[in-house]
Formats: sequence, C-alpha cells, structure tokens
Amino acid sequence: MAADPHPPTEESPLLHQFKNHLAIVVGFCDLLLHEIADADPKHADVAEMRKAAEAAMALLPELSRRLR
Amino acid sequence: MADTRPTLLVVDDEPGIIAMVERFARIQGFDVIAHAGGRQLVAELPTMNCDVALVDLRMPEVSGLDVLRAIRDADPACQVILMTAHASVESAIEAVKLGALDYLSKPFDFERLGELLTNVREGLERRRRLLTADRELASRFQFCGMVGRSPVMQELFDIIRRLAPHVRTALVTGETGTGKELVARALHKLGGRRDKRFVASNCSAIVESLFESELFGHTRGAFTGASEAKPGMFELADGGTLFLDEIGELPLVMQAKLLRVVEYGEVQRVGATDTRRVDVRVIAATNRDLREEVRLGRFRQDLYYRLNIVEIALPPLRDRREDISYLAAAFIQDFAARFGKSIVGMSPGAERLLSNAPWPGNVRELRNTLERACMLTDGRMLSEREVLSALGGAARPAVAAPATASAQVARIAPPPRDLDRSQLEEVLQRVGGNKSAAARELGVSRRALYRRLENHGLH
Ligand SMILES: Nc1ncnc2c1ncn2[C@@H]1O[C@H](COP(=O)(O)OP(=O)(O)OP(=O)(O)O)[C@@H](O)[C@H]1O
Repeated sequence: MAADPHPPTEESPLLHQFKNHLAIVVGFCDLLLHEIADADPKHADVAEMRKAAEAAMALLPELSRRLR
Repeated sequence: MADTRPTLLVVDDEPGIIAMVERFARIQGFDVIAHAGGRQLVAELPTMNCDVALVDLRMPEVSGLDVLRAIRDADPACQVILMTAHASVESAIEAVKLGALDYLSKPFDFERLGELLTNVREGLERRRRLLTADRELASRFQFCGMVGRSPVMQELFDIIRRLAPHVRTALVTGETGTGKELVARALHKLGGRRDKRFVASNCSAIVESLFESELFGHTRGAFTGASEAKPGMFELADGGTLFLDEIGELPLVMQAKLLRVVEYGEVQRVGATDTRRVDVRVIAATNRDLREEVRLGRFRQDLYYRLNIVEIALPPLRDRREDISYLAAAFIQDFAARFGKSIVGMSPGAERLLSNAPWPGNVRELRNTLERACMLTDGRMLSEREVLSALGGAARPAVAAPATASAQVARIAPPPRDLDRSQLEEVLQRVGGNKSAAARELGVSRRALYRRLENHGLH
C-alpha cells in the first residue's frame, strides 16, 4: 500500500467522517437546487439547508483545533 | 461498436457519496458502475471497461492511489479523477504524476465535475469519430479482401485491376501466407467471371497416382475404384477459374498434360476417347523459385513460360512493414466481431512488437497471432503481454529449431501412425502455418501431411 499522503496530525478520522457526511448533504442540496425551479418555494428551503451545511463545514477547522 | 453511452465507475467506501455521484453522472449522460473499493475491485477492473473513474483517495484496504495505479495497468484508456475530503498539494501532485485527470475536493464543486465529465465525453466522441475515419481510410487500403497500404501493395492492386479482364493464365509467386490465393480470387472476381466457379486445388495435397483424374476427370471403370464417371477440376471450373496452388509440386508428366489443356482448351477424361472443350482461366501459385526448378530440370520450361506471361509477385510481410498496422486493425475488427468482444485496438507496446516481428509465416502468421491475442484478452485494448504470449506460440521454432540430438532422433524415428488433430494444429501454429516446416517437424512428407490435414478437415 502507498504511504498515506495525509499525516494523521492534519485531521482526525472523526473529523474526516464528519466532513464526508456534510459533503453529502451539500452535494444532494446542489442536485436538488439544479432540479427545482427557482420560482418553486422549495428552492429557497433547500438553499437554506445547503447554507447551514456549509456553515457547519466552515466550523470544522476551529473544531479540529479545540479537539487537540 | 457497443452502445454510445459512456460508463463511469465511482469508487468510495461511503454510500452517500456514491449515491450522489451516481445521480449527477446519470444526468450527465453516463452509465454508472458503483463500487465500495478494496481488493475485490482490483480483481474486477480488467473486465469493467469504464471510460472514466471517480475514486476516493482515502479508503481502507486499498487506497485511492493504488486503485489509480491498478486502473492504469488494467485499462489505460480509462481516465481517473480522484476525490478527497481534504485536499493536500502533495497528494494532488502525486495523483497527477500517476496519470490522474484531475483531483477534486469534497464537497464537490459540481460545476467543475460537470466540466470534467463533459471533457471526457467529448474526448470519447472524438475518438469514436477518429476510429470511424480510420476505418474509412482503411477501406481505401482494401482491395478484394486484401489489405495493403505499402506502395508495393498499392501498385499490385493496380496491376490486378488492370490485368484481370485480360488474363488467361497467371503465375502468383510469394512465400507461404503472403496472400497468393487472395490474389487469385481477385483476378477471378475482377475478370468478369465472378458468377462462375472459382475452383481451388492444392497440388501437394493430391496423391500422385490420382492427379490426372483429379484434374481431368475419369470415365466409369477407367481404373479400379472408378465406379462412377467423375468430372475433373477443369470441367468443374468451366467458364471460371482454376487455382492451382503449389504448382511446383506437380509431377513432370502432369505438367505436360496441363500445358496441353492450357494451350488447346480441351480435356480428356481418364479412360475416355473423346475430348471436351473447356474455357478455364488457370492461375497457378508457388512459393518456390520456378526459374530455378526449370534450371534443375524439375519444371518444364514451356509450361513455365506459358504461366508466367503474367507473373504477380507478393513480397514477404517483413519487406512491407507499413502494412502490418493496417492488417492488424482489420484482423482485430474481424475477431472482435467473431468473438463478440469490444476490442478496439492495441497498446503502443503491442503495436511495436508486431511491427518488429520477423513473420516467417507472413500474413497468415500475423492473422493467427491476433486471433490468439483476441481470444486471450478481456479488455478493449490488446496489451503488450497478450500479444507477446500470442506471438510466443508462433515465432519460436520457425527461427530457432536447432538440430539437437532429440530433434534428429525424432526425424528418423518412424512417424506416429496417427497424428491427432490437436497435434497437427499445434505444430502448424508453431511454424506459422508453413506446411513444409510442419512436415519436416513431424517427419512426414508434405504430401502425407496434406492428406492428414484433409482427413481432419484442416485445410
Ligand atoms: N493482404 C492481405 N489482407 C488481408 N488478409 C490477408 C492478406 N494476405 C493474406 N491474408 C490472409 O492470410 C492468410 C493466408 O493467405 P493465402 O492463403 O492467400 O496465402 P498463400 O500465399 O496462398 O499461402 P500458402 O502458400 O501457404 O498457400 C489468409 O487467411 C488470408 O486471408
């Protein structure tokens, strides 16, 4: 096996998983936003979900520092 | 060509990511194969035939970079995009060095992924168009079932085209497997005799005592065993073409009789008193130097001059190597269709091997080699390894058959009473279809070999 290109100090496995889950939330939001017409009220709802997931993702570096 | 929807492979140990990519890729017009990764994946790769793969970098068991390497090995035509939740410059560089198309960080920038997939799709379409263009180009280098792009072959096609309507007799010369029979067929087809029979006969396959009746027929009771009257090959070919392969094997007595038929257009069945008129175009072929045979008194000079009014000489394959890649492409296409595989070509290394091989068995050997390689492969591209092992069977003893003690013994020992079909096939394959070499190796005469081949329906 190749050496892991990510030294474990960079990010803990827990955070990695966390980020993955959030990426899925954001990804599906993007897909939905693509499918739902802009005028549809659901569009704005999904956009809110996406914003929240992104905000959660933005907190990850800080979380990582505090966990150390 | 298989269906035109490209295939995307997504590899991630996280089902949510797979579901997401799958959804997006389908919208983009891709068929999707999803896989959780691991050693199982590496084993399945060679038969997957994907056009593009999206691979997570960090996975347990087998890492993304290892999957990338495995894809490069198994299917070099497949593009790989790596994805990761934590981009680092080092791993990105490493990935690109290993041949990845790009490196995406999660969460995905779908716009970026969309662009990449569009590029992949357009690249595939371009390649498909090129392949069609290639095929169209290839058809310009096809002539009556013969492929030839070298100047000598192009010239030869031109000569055949111009001579065909006028030829009465012709001599086609060239080593074994160079396509002499194809030339004869082309002369037949373009000579306005296409609706008439083309009768092919191999002179070294005929038992010596039966030559006359084979060629000219016999009446009932003409000799023991002639229980029915039978027309000879000249009568069968009346109005058409008689192809006499290995004319150098024709016994001298028969040469005189053949010359008379060719000159007067009359045949006499064995045992008959009358003659019959036939209108037959005779095309003879040989891999011997007939001029030399004449000098040695083994071939009649008058017959030689009669036959070589038109002489068409086929150069050995090693003297027209430009033809190899075109021939190979045509054979691959044939065998892919025959075996129901979607083989589209071969790797540059494989092509190099073919271009440099000695080809003592000429086009026939090339064809047999590609048949074996196409049989072996599971991928869309014949690999160097597959071509090498397909070559292995054919190339060896033709060049290196040292007269070792055991080989000598084998040669003087009485031949096995009955060679079975697989033995015959094996030896023939090894010597690239060269019958003389095969006979030598088996310690039997050419004629005996032909009889055995015929018994097994191998000729
Ligand atoms: N130019 C060519 N293009 C495509 N196929 C070819 C060409 N030349 C030969 N072949 C193929 O190679 C094989 C051998 O050709 P062919 O039987 O005409 O050779 P030959 O010279 O008559 O051989 P031999 O002297 O052993 O009888 C056949 O399968 C034939 O279709």
